[in-house]
Amino acid sequence: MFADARSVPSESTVDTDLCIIGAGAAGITLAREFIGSSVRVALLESGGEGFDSQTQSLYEGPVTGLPYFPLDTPRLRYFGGTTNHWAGVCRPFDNADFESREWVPFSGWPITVTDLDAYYPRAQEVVQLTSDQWDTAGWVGRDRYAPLPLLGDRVLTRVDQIVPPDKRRFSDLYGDELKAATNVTVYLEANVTEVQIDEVGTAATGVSVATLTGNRFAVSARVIVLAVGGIDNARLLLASNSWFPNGIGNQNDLVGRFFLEHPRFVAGVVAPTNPNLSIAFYQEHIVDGTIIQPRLAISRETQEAEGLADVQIRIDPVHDAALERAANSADVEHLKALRDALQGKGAGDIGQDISNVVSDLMTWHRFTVPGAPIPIPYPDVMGTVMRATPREKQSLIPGLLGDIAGFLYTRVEGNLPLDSLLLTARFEPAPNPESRVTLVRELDEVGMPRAELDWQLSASDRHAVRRSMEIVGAEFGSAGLGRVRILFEEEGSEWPADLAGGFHHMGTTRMSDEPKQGVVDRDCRVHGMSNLYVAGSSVFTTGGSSNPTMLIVALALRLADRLREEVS
Amino acid sequence: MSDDARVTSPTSPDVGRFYADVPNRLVGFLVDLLILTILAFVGAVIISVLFGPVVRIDLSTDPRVELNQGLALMNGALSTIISAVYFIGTWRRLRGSPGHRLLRMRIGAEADGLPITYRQGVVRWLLIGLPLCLEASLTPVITGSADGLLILALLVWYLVLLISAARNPAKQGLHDRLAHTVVTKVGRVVPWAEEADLGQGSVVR
Repeated sequence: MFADARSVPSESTVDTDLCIIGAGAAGITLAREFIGSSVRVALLESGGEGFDSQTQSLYEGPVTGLPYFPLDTPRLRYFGGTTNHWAGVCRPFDNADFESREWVPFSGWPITVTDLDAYYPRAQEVVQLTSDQWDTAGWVGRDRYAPLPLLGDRVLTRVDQIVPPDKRRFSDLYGDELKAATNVTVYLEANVTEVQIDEVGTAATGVSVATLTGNRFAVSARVIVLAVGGIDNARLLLASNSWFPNGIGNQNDLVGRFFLEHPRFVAGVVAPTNPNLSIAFYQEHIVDGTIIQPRLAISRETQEAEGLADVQIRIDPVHDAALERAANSADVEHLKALRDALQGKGAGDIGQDISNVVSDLMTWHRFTVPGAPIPIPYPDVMGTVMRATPREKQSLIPGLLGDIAGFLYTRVEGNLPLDSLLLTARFEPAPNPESRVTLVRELDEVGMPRAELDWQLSASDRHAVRRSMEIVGAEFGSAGLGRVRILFEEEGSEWPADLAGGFHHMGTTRMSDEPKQGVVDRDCRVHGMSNLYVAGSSVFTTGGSSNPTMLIVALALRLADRLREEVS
Repeated sequence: MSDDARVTSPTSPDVGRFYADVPNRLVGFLVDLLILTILAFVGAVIISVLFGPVVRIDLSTDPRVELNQGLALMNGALSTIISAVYFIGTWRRLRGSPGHRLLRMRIGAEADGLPITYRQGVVRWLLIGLPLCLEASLTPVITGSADGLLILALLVWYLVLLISAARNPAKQGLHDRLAHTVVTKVGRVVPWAEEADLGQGSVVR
């Protein structure tokens, strides 16, 4: 059921068995696992059922270090959490992602991929993926497009799956289920400001809750799980300093450190040997009903041989501007809209769709000889067209005809002729203790210190990307596909201006069996606390280069199994 | 074949002449349009030579195509004049347009089969030739959906002419009836055609 925290009596205490803080991918997954059980669950969500700018502003905080998005941008603070703007990209972390690699400092999870074998298939169901095919070979042959014919085994293709847009929001997927659950209460508008600790400091007893309307109450629970994201999990532990001055689980000064993102930037450009080289396989497309997004990656063997962290490369085509404009023109969009409308899939006004297409159709008519009963181009137009190059011819044909010509060119050729290919590297950053989330003095509206992000990367990251690009360049060259120009140097400390993250906040409560190496243990329990757990990507020891959501869900399912024993 | 479908043509010396059916007249009309298109194109070349290009194309600018509306309207007017002279002149002087002649069709007065008068020619051209010219001539000033609607109206109008001709016993479309003209075609006389009712039209004896 859903409840409004603003209507909970002030200064009261809500008693429950399991208290989950945060109704995002991890929190909702965890809560669902207890539906229908005898366990009483309180799922505390800061926001309501929709976006609210006042609640969202609770995420605001300063950014230092490398340039990063304002902290209230990458995350969403309402029911469903950041799944409400999730791009749906999925790929499970593989064995190498969990291993300790001596060339990646602080790498090595206390669990292996085997520990997640039972959970990945369930996670796949939760995130609404219909295929369990993660091997590239499993897609080749079924796909009308083919991977690039790279000759060596140093560069390979990895395939991500993408959840359809209408199945990404956990709020839409699981909201009704949680509303109907009698043993799960979702408290909306409930901001947790502190985790309360027992007198000996070894167990959490509950949490303090505040609403934006000024209401304050407590929730006491036998087990508490933090699931408020990679930044706020650390923020909440650090801010819970009534007992521990440095925050809960922070006896080794690790909470908030090792902040990881998936950095990306355009690292290279390819001058293709053949302008008609097909890279359609590397564009987001549908195969047998599944949306896939293949990328290039350096093989694990090469990573080991060269001492490189994981780097994957997205390929984006750059076409002739005129042809690209034609292929994506408003005229072609009007035609597609009309087609959709006639097929009953239209979103707009079919009358307007028809009017648009008719109007577009008439564009070319202006360039025919006036009064000629059969439309025939002006002699001037014909002369110029006959003298023009093939590419100029297309752009000369005015209006819809030109656009359709460009559009058909893409259909006939499979893709537009290439000017170049952009190679965007997205890489696994080495865990770096100096990359961290801390608290600042400024308080938010419910009295919590705001988080400050100091995002840092390492010299080894520069080396990994530079060397990976060199390998990709060599493979493109030896396969005769084109020349690669690498757009950044390994030396120096400046990162490219287009460096950005992927809204993936990881590592701030990292997992390790050693309390001096991590905040939570292999069961996601905070070291030193008997009943306080963390869910979400903040427990990632390393970030890999795959999108984190599937692993977040798999770990939440695994945690649910662990808690089922404990709470029962 | 019904009796009212028969007419006599006391002045026509031709034997085996029948009212030209819709398919023949449609093909003849399309031939005329093709010829007129060529003439309009020649007119456009002349205007381009005399006054400069109606359409300027510059690959270095955007938009790359620039239309001289004044010259375009002049071009439309010239095409309209060519159309009027072509149709009215040939109907009157040659008893049929080149399209008619090619398919051995003749146009004559409804009452006596004699060559049509200029007045009849003008009325007929206003109804069958001008609409198409008008639409094609106004393209520089009427654009977008309005142009589409105009073309739609034109299609409806020519459909009306076609259907009215098809449904009339003497194959007179609305334009023929208002201009009091009739189009006939020379055909091989088939003695048993009348009995067989081949649906070929009405044989004129």
